[in-house]
Amino acid sequence: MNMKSGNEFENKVRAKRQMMDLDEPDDSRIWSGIETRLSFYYQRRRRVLISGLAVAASIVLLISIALFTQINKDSGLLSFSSGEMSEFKKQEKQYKALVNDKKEQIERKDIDQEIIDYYKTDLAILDSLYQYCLKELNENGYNERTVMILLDTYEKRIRIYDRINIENQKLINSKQDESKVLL
Amino acid sequence: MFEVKVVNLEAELIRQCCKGDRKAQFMVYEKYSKAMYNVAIRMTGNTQEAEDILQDAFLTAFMKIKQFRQETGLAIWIRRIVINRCIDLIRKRKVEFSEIDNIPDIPEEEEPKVVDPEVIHKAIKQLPSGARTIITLHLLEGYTHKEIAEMIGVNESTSKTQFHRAKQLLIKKIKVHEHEIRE
Repeated sequence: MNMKSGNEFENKVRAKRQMMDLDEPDDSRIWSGIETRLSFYYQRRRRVLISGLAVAASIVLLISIALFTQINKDSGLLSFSSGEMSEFKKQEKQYKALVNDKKEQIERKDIDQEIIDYYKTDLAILDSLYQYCLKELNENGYNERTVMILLDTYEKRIRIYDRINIENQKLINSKQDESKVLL
Repeated sequence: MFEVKVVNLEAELIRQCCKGDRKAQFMVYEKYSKAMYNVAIRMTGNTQEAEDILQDAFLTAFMKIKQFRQETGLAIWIRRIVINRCIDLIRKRKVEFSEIDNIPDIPEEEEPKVVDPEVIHKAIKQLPSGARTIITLHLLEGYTHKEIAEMIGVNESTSKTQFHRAKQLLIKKIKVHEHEIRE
């Protein structure tokens, strides 16, 4: 910023700059609005954090089960019969349809970006876990525990999308409440 | 020693605001609200809009204060938020900076020798929107024409020309005010 250039008139105006702040805002009304909106903001942040922690905890549990489970060819765990395999494929198809449906619902709505960003990491972890389980099934054949974990990733994804919807709706409601308070 | 103490007080205030301390936030608001309000009212020319901008700007500042790098003072940072909000509003209104071009060539006015801050403040508020913006940004807030050009989406020479014309309008309004006072 260049405060020194300009002619005499401009320099005189600049010298008296501080004395020109003559109007007074309605501080009590404005501060009251700031306080109310800040309260909503902090409440929303706490809710997102708490629900995020709950989801993160269940994902960690899922990963722990996958890591400590004996998912290998020598595990001695039962393999699926062809009947069980088709049952698994049927279940996976149903889950996929449900997850895609939830995902499309989210994409159609104008969801707050902060909420989406918050759950992005969790969704990415579930994707990685899903790929890991899929690889295990392909390399070592079907087993019940791997299938359970794989299907559970769908469950978790559904819960996350529901969470996103709920958080977004709460945000919309709080903004509506806020506008009633401020008017 | 005194100067170091003042900087530390601000650093402490910022630290408390980062924690969401309401008292600290109010102290920041109280300290800067009048100055920021006058920036907004000079740029918007409208009390209601200036108050809305003031509220939004402080809310943004408190929500994003953890991102504040403290390379500049807090006042400068908040002022920039206020100015950005004003510019967004001006863009939404699609204020034409060529509006000054529509005024017939303004004869060069003799610059007043004495500068009354109250008269200047009133005269600025009465200028057309484009003129008010340029005068506020260059003459009072110290932005260079290059910076202004980037902010409002014109080229640098347009900013200089517009400023020159706006200044002539301002001087004319000052003289009208001074004449009214004398009478």
